[in-house]
This record gives sequence, C-alpha cells and structure tokens, in this order.
Amino acid sequence: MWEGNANVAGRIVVLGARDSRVNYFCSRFGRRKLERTTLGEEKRKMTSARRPLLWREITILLAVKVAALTCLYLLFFGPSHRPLADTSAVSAHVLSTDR
Amino acid sequence: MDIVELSRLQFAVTALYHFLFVPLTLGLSILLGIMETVYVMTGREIWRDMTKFWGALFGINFAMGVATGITMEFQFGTNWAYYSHYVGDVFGAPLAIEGLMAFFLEATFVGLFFFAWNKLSKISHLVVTWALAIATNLSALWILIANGWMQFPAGARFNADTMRMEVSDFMEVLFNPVAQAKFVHTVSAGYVVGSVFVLAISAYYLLRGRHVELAKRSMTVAASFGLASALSVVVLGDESGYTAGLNQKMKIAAVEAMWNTEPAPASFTIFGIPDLKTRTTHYEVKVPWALGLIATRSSDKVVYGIDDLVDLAKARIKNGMIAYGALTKLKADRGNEAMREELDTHVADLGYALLLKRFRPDVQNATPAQIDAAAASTIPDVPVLFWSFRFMVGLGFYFIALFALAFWLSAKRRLDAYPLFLKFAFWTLPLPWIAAELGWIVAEYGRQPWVIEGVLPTALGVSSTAPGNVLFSLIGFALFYSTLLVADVYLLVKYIRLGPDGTLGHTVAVPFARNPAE
Repeated sequence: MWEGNANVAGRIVVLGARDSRVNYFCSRFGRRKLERTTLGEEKRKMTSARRPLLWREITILLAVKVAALTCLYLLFFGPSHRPLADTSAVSAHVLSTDR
Repeated sequence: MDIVELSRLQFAVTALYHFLFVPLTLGLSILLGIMETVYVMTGREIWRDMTKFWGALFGINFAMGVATGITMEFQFGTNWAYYSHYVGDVFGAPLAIEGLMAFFLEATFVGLFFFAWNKLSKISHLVVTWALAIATNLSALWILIANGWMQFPAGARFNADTMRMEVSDFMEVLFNPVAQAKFVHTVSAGYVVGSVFVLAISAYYLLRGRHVELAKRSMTVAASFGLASALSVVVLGDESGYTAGLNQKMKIAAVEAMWNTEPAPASFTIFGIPDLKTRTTHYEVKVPWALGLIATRSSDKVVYGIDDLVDLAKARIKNGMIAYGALTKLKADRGNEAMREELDTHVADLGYALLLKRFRPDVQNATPAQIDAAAASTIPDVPVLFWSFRFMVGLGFYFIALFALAFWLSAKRRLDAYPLFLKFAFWTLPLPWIAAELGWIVAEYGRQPWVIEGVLPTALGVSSTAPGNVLFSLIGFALFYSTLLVADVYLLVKYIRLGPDGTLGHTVAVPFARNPAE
C-alpha cells in the first residue's frame, strides 16, 4: 500500500509501504537507495537531500546570470560604447554648424 | 535608412510590441480583484478557482510584458542619448518612480498572489490581489506622466547653462492635464482588452460546452466591467481629444484631415479620402459642429486647419531663430545679459528654430524656402492618422455594442443561448489589441516631427552612434521578440485548451451541484 509521493527540486521521492517504512529514493538518474527508515528520518533525509541541490542550482543560475550580464555590459554598454551626452556635447550637437 | 529612422523604428517596434501585453495586464488585474472579492464575499469555491485560472493566464502575460518593457528604458541611453540629456531632468523622474516604486510593488504582489494562497487568510490574499491591481495601474500612471510631458511639456524651463530642460514645478508635471487624460483613457482601454479577453475565452468554452459554470460567471463579470470600461474609453477619449486640441493643434488637424480653417464650430469628418498632393479630402461625409464641440468645448472657438497652422509655424520658426542666435552668442559669452534676456523672451519658440537643423546647420542664415520647408515638416502623416483614428473609434463603439449585448444576455441568464453571439464574442479577441495599437499610433506618430512637442525635434534627440549598431540590435530585437511571441501564444493556447481543470490540477467546484448520493 503506497503512502504517497513528492516531487522536490526535480527528484521524485516515493514513500514506501506503510508497514515496512521502506523508502525508495529515486533521483533523475534512477533509483539509488533502498533502505529502512522511520518517517522522521525520512523527512530529515528529504530536507537534507534537497538543500545542497537547491543551493547548487541557485548558485549556478546566479553565476550564469552574472556572466551573461558582464558579457552584455562589455559588448554593448561599456564606456567605449557609451555615446557622450554632457552639456558640451549637447551644445555642440544642437548649436554646431558642421552637421 | 539613416540613424534617426532606424532609432525611431526600433523604439516603435519595441513599444508597439510591449503594448500587446500591457493592456491585458491592466485589465486582468482588476478582473482578478473583482472575482476574488466575490469569492471572499460569498465563500463559493468556484470564484476562487476562477481567480486562479485567469490569474495563471495573467501570469504568462505579465512575464512577457516585463521582458519586453525593460529594453525600451535602455534605448533612452543607447539610441536617444541627446534626448536623455536634454529632457532627462524632467522625463527621468517619473520613469525612475515607475521603476522603483510601482514596478517593484507590482512584482512583490505578483509573487504573493501566486504563492500565498495557502499562506494568507482570505482577506489578506484579497488585499494582495487588489494591491497588485493598484500597483499595475500605478506603473501605467507614472509612465503616462512621462509620456504626457512629451505631448505637453508643462512645469519645466530651458536652462541655457546646462543645455537642458529642467523641472520648474513638479506638481505641474504630475498634474499635467494631458497626462491625466491619457492615463484614464489608456487604463480604460486596458480594461476593455482584459474584458474582451475573458469574454472571448469564455465564449470559446460555452461554444464547446466545457467549464460552463465558470465560463458563464466569467462572462458576466467581463460583460459588466467591459461595458463600463468601453463607455469610459469613449468619454475619456473625448477628454484626451480636448487636451490635445489645446496644445497639439496640428495633431487634431491631421487626424481630421482638415486642411483649411472652418468657421466655428468646425464639423467632424466621419469619412473621406485625404489627398496629400492636392491638400484636400475627397468624398467627405461631415457631421456639423461636432469637431468644434469636441476639440474646444464651445460653439464659437475656431479649430485651425493645417495650412493656417503651417503659417503659424513659420512665424514661430522666425521667432525661434532669434532665440537660437541669442543662445549661440550666450554660449560664447556667458556674461552677456542682453543675450540672456533676448533668449528668455523668445525661448518658447527655440524648438521651432531647431526644425531648421534638418535643412541647414547654420540656422540663423536660413532662407525663406528653408523656413517654408521646416514649417511644412510640422505636418504629420495625415492619411495614417486619419484612418488609424477612425478605425480605433469604430472599434470602440463596436465594443460598447458587444458588451451591452453580453450584459443584457447575462441579465436574462441566456449567455449560452445564442451560438452566433458566442462566435462573434470569440472572434472579437484580436480587435481590442488592434484598437489599442492604433491609439498609440495616433498619439505618438501624430506628435511627429517632435519628440517633445514644440521643444525638441525627434532628429536632434538621436545618439551619434553608427547606424549598423542600431540595425544589428533591431534585428536582434525582432528575432528575440518573435521567439517570445511564439512562446507566449503557445503557453496561452496551451492553458486555455487545458481549461481550468487542467490548469489548476483539480475539478473546478460547481455550486449547487446535485449530490450523486441523493
């Protein structure tokens, strides 16, 4: 008799038979562990298993984001790409006679 | 295409594309608030499910709206650097407030709306939903205050030392009559878009006999809110026309294809074919007095025709040339008080002298022919404005008729009795977007050749960058936005086809359903 399942951060955790408290721990690469646990241990393991994964995913995502923004900045928005528009530049633009 | 045309095209493409998402966000946010209010007041689960289902579609649209809106703010810096310097002191403030206050507020409440259903009490979540709706509308307010200032630059003056427009009275900028009229008109148009969206999708479900209870209730809300909004759009559009008549007389004349000044009160042209070569409008069908009453709110004030306004522009260009000359001398000799005084006297027309920059660099030496050409350049594209305005108004009246019929059928509880009506309602789906885009074309294309009406010609606001850069980013935007559009339509169609049951992951509660055990 199945107790239920949960999908946490890409992993599927299938709670085992109610009587024997067997916990099938299935990652995205397949079933990995089969062990006897209590429900309390089960919850602790689920929490501890997903925490490092979540942190890793957040870190990777942030790193990719920072890298993408840096590339965008260097390629398109750096000082060399910035059109000068201060008072003297605007004066020259609006009042100059060589346009 | 030169740098000016490319920069204008890029901004027009991104703005028109962004505005596909904005009105639906505005409209759906209020509809979500109404639906959840009914849920809290009645306690019926179906209203919560309705809020969640339409909220899912709102979420898809909101994400796309954010992604497409940010690029425009960057364009002010990259493509419109001179514009940003010249008017940034005024324009930047509402833009920054929109980003810092309204958008962050909106983004925060979007998160709470989606993820706090089981964390907050009913009342607290309702407060969140209404806060989301208010924040969404606040975003629109600040952006339209910025845009309204471009149409009517009140509360600012030119500073010759810094070469920029600076705020002289922030309250005038804030309560700019053009901005206020534009805000209420635009958000009402957004409410119509949201209402037509809900009405059309609900009609789709009723035609197929799916989710009937949810669809009928959604249609009732959309019909009543949509009717009020569609009526508001017309009334507030009239106000918008009146404020434009006060300070954008050329725009009004171009929208009416009114070449010559008529004796007051001017008549309104319902139909006609504007001819640019002969400067006449063929086959005109006119309503006497109507334009005079709309544009001046009086029966004795004149609405000027295009030819007279061109003559007026010539006079202002000549006056502006005096200001330009004084400014040039003042830049060479900052202590020249006589020149400062002369500039102050004629500064209101300085922008008109800058129109000559397109024809010769040394503005002071412009020939009469060049002054004539610069004055003629103040005429926007008459046929585009004439037809855009008429299609927009025609669609506005169609929406009133559609919502009135839907409201009447809803009151009679016969919403699903007429398949023809449901088909009409469904096929109306793209029309409010077309009307909204046409409205923007009238407002922004009608402002040309000005980027700030009477102050700065569009051509002078563009950055001195290589056209290739703008072309490259324009192609990039076109490709990226097309991908986003495909993703958006795919997601919306997917969740609409899935329906409320599939989207929410449970069968939508049906009130008063017979218990199978009985």
